[in-house]
Amino acid sequence: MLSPAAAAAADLQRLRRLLSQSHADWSSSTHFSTGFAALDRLLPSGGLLRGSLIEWLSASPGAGAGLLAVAAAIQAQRPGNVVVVIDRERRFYPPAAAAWGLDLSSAMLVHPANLHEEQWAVEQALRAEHVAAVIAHPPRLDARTFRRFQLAAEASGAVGLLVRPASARPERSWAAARWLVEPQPSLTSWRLRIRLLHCRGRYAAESAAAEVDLDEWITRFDATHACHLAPELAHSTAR
Amino acid sequence: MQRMLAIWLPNWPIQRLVNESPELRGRPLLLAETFAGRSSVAACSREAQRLGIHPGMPLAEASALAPRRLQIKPHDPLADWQSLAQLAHWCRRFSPTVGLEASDPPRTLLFDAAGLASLHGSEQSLLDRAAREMARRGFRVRLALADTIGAAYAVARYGNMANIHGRQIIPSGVSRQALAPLPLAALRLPDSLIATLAALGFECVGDVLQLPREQLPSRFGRQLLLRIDQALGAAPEAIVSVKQSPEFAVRQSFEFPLVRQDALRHALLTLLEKLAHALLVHRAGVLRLKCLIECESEIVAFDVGVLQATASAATFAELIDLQLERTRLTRPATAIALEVLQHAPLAQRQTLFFKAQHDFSSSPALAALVNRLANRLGRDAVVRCRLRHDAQPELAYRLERVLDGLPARHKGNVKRLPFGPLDRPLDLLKAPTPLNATIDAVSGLPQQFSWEGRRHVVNQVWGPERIDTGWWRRRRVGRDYYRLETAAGQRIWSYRRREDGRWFLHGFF
Repeated sequence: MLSPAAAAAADLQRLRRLLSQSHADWSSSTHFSTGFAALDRLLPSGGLLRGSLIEWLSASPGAGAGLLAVAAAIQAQRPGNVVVVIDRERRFYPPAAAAWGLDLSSAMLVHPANLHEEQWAVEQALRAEHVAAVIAHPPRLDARTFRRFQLAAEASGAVGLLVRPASARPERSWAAARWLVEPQPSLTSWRLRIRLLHCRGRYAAESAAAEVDLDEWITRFDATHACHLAPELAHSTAR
Repeated sequence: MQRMLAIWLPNWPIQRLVNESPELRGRPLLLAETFAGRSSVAACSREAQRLGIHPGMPLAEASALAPRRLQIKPHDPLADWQSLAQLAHWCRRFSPTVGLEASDPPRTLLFDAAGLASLHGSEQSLLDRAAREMARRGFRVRLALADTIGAAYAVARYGNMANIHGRQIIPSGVSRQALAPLPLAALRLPDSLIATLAALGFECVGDVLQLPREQLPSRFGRQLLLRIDQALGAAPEAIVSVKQSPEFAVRQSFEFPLVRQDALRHALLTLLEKLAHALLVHRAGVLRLKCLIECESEIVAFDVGVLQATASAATFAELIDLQLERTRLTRPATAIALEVLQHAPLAQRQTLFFKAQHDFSSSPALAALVNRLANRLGRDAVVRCRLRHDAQPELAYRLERVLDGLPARHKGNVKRLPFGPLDRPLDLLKAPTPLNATIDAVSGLPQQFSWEGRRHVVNQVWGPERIDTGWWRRRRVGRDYYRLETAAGQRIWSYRRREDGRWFLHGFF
């Protein structure tokens, strides 16, 4: 049992975190980049918020929404934390995610058998401490489940990255940001047109859109994750 | 006065395997081992011997002798040893001190039989009973009872027992006479020493026993004299008793069958606490637990497992609850039983100095998440991925269960990926799907294709990337992969099968 003083201190810390989530000001403990400067500029706080849900809607498979979600998960990743991928259809291809920059050694893959189990697994993963991000592909979400996801993420500080079909657009969303990904035919690099449909702290009237070049991620990623010659040292206080 | 019983299990690796999988009985069976890149026969059954196979033979030669009927299994010395230790454990019903022979690998069980004759009536009835019980369990054995470990071992292993059913009692004080006609190997000597003695013309134990004692150490080393003394009882030798590993199991039956779920839950918790207490005494924690709920007409059984050994009743109560949510009990429960399938010492965990791989148990919260997910969704449903060097995209990674912990060795880890960030699709179909495509006559590439009832026009094509797995694969794969961009901007990964030129859709970027 915690002593009353320790319990009060823990309460205070929890409240502080809640407060910082509503009055967003940028710091790496509360915010992280989407990985693309053009998208960060659209967000009122200049980045995505930890302890929230982000939705990526895409009209068709192969539009690149999954890549954006993985990029965000990589940005959200912190040492000692894990990324959980909930993959009901067993179509997530780890080598591609690794090539895109995801560290597979701190990633966990979960294969639920049906929609019901998928929802349960997403909520469990979002609720756990030391989970940096949860990637999932829920096709349908009722408002109550969605809200439960959001509360779970808020409680633990994990980020829920939901990649969903565009048919989910009329559904009510509890996500802090909802993006619509539309690929652009292009001759050189792979360009995506991304619309910010809804974002907490931003007026709905101003619809915002940006064009993202996926090559930007590759150059940025190459620069920051150039080469590790020696293995990273574990955190000395890890139990 | 000392009396020792030795039970020799001839051809133990084969006996063990046949005992474990009875369908192998009576079939030509061989165990293969690989040493320094060379595969050879480690042991073989009598049926295989009749075909001309003998231990030590190269595997290729042996399999050529009987290509069809031969059963080839890997040689597993550790399993052999474990099974023998288990058998020794079971044999504690005959004698309080049971051990394995001290050689490597052991093939003989040793019992302290001093004073047991009076319990069984006579030494002969003790021997008969042990032989009977072993035969009932399906084991072929030879038994000998003598004054010393050395003599009992020698007679059990090398004695002539053709017409006494493989059981022999050497009366007290006549070890010397009994040992004399046996071959030199009966003295448990190293092969090199036996070769030296054989070269000098010594054939049996009796020949060596006639040599003057004082000359032996200087001519043949100390070991020969020690073994002789041990066999004759002049030097002491003790049985190293097999250690008993405690078994943890609890069971409770109810006077009145339980119908209500909360009553059952309460009973489970009480039982778990009892188990946890028993475990704590041994400073052990549970890794896997079997839970049996006996109902009026059926038994519901399931396993729960955790990532790190724990002796906390609450943890297991929660995990059992998750299972109970899924299994609906239709009949009232009459009894519950818990059995620990796997336990481990509750030791402090060593922290990793180099962060090579996350084992998910560094944080209690993560360990609890893994436990919960794995117990509700199944052990196979919670995995980590390891990349492999394999050209075939479906085989370029392997899934490992998180609950199994980290594998002891990381062999063939992929350090550098052989492809770039956008060369593989994030969304790979479980199986390639035939692509209904219109092919351009000039370039041979798809112009249009239909997928899920819609037509897609191909705007751009990148490729090919040729993936060929080579002839040594049973199912050879030869594919030319192309990245296609549709007019709508979708990117898909498709390939042309090189055997017949058919197109397949394999994934989405």
